[in-house]
Amino acid sequence: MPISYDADVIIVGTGVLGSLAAWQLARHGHSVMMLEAGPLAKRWQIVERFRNNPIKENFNRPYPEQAWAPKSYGGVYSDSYLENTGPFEFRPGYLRLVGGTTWHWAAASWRYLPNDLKLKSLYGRGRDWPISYDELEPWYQLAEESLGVCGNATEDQSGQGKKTPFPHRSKDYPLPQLGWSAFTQAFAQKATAAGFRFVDEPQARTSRPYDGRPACSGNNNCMPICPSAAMYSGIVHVDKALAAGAKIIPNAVVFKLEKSADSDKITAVHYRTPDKKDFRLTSRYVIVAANGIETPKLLLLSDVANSSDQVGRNLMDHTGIGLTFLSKEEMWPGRGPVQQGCILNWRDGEFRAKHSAIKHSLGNAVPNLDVVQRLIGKGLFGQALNKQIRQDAARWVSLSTVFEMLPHAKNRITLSSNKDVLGFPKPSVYYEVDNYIQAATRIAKNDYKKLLTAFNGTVVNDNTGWQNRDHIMGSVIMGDNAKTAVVDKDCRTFDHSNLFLATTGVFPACGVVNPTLTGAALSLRLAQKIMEAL
Amino acid sequence: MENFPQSCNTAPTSQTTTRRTFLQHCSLPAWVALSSTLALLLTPPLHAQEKPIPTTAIPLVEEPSVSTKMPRDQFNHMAQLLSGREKLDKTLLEKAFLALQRNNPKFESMLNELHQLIDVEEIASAQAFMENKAVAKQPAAIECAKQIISALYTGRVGQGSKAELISYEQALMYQPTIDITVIPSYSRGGRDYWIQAPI
Repeated sequence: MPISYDADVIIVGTGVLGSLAAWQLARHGHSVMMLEAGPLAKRWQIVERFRNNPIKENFNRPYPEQAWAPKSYGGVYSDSYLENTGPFEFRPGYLRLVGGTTWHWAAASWRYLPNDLKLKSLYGRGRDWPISYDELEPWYQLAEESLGVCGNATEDQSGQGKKTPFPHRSKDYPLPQLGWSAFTQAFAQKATAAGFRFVDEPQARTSRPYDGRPACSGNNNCMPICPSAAMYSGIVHVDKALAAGAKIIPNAVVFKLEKSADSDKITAVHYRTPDKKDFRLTSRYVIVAANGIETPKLLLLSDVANSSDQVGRNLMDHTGIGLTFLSKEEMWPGRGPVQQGCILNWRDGEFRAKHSAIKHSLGNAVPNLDVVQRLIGKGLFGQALNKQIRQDAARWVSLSTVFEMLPHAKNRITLSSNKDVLGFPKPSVYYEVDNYIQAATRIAKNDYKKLLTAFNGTVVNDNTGWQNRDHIMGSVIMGDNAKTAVVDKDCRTFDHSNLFLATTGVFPACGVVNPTLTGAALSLRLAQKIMEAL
Repeated sequence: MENFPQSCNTAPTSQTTTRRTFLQHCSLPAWVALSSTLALLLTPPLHAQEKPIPTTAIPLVEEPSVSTKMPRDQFNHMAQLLSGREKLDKTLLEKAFLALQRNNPKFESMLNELHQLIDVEEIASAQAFMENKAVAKQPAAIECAKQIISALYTGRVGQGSKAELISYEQALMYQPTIDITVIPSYSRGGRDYWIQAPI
């Protein structure tokens, strides 16, 4: 008698990577069940919660807070959820709700460079990816079309000043480049004159109406919530997957992947509801798409996929620093989307043998809150305050610098002895910044000096210390050897032939560009691999 | 001869003794203790010249008791003076005052000290407040002034779990740039408005 299953594929997590896989499978006729630890929230509710939120800088706060599925911070349960034992407070902003953390991101949608995937073989550092850029390219294209990415296909995105577009692409971007704000134009002009190579940022933001989404109208609120859906978020493909026949169960906290007694397969997925009732579902394939912290946590909790002892290890972020200064001339940031381009001189080159790659990303957020807090701190009142707010808001330049961390076994996620309200261990993190990044900070700070000279700038803050960048990588690392990696190049776990991981946690080398588009490409590709096997 | 400080236990006797010179010879707490009586004796307090805040239009706010009217009026006066705006949204003022009260148990006494200092120094503008030498020697008064102006400009009071929103759209920090930049999530420009330089 044939075995019956509750679904062809169960997907744990409904962020952009999980929902893309769900959509890809469901639209090709496969039965898909999505399990989401958090609740469903409507965009208008999140916008209202944002407007009523007193701490606007905390991007997690406008999102639902629930005891059974805490966020990484931003609420009474969330603030004590993610534990740290190392010298750096590793606390990426992630959410637990239907649609996942791309509800709040800046939508940067970069492709990696071919060399980013060969860090070890080219520069002798870290690890190589077991997959090439050419293998990824068609999936990058599908990911860009799925997310609605606008960009400039004529530039050298490696930042090396090549005269031809790079990396190569099979087609143009699905949407034309979003026009630069006058601020971005002015910054690019002066930075270029000072020897910097400023490159347009491809972004999952609609420069024209696209796929039922309106064009961006410059609300300048990409983080923490785009009010119009011009910016892509995972909820787009949750809705598409549901329309294609997929099912979803919110508030279902998966706590166990059940191993078969007589094969390498995962036979069932167990979840607990907020009222502490347990359920068991079966499927032919399981995809865990629960981000780079919750995914290894579930694997450790289930004691699966860890024959390499690499689950939870090699944790990486684009750990960074920042610079804020006041330019001499008026520039007027805060018009249009929150970021549009980067300085990429240090994206690739022989120097990567010695120190990390570097990206300086230009912020374009309305700066008034930061401006006014600084001026009140200085003791300004009345018309003097009003005048100086206008003066400084017109000149506020904020750069976010990121570095390429290397994978280290000691930087890891483990299970805490402390439990959440459902009785499951909280995640515990040990993370320390490595010498590869330390060596690059001197270069980055030298860039800061050049920029301050170019803009005749007055420093507001050039000593931020290390900062989280919310790009969780390495924790379920990909490789070509089952002894040293958790998944293969198809994102299939070495230990369980029907268990796949759709998360940026699989990245073995992280470059300096935002990882989401690469994660999306991998997720679409792994869905294809499952379809071929079903 | 020992140089004793002048006693504060006697009321001013000379017509030439102003409240300013009186304060210069007295500690501030002692002055505050006497202030309500003296204020009534000398001149009508500024708050008596202002119209009371109508509370009927403000939902969820109880009718202030007699004992709280005075700090409210002091607050409104300070808010007007420190912001340089005669007209401030009454709901914004009401919410800011109540939030500051909730957030800081000492707020009312700090406010009272600040108000008396302003009164004694005859400070009539934010600029005069910033330039006044007596103010510069009173960090608690400056801190209170910053709390008031911070509430009105940022639209919030308090930190962490105690943080309260007073207003988003009405927060005064957006007004100086409202012709150029949006209040985030409230776009007014339409597609591609940002490409052209604003000025």
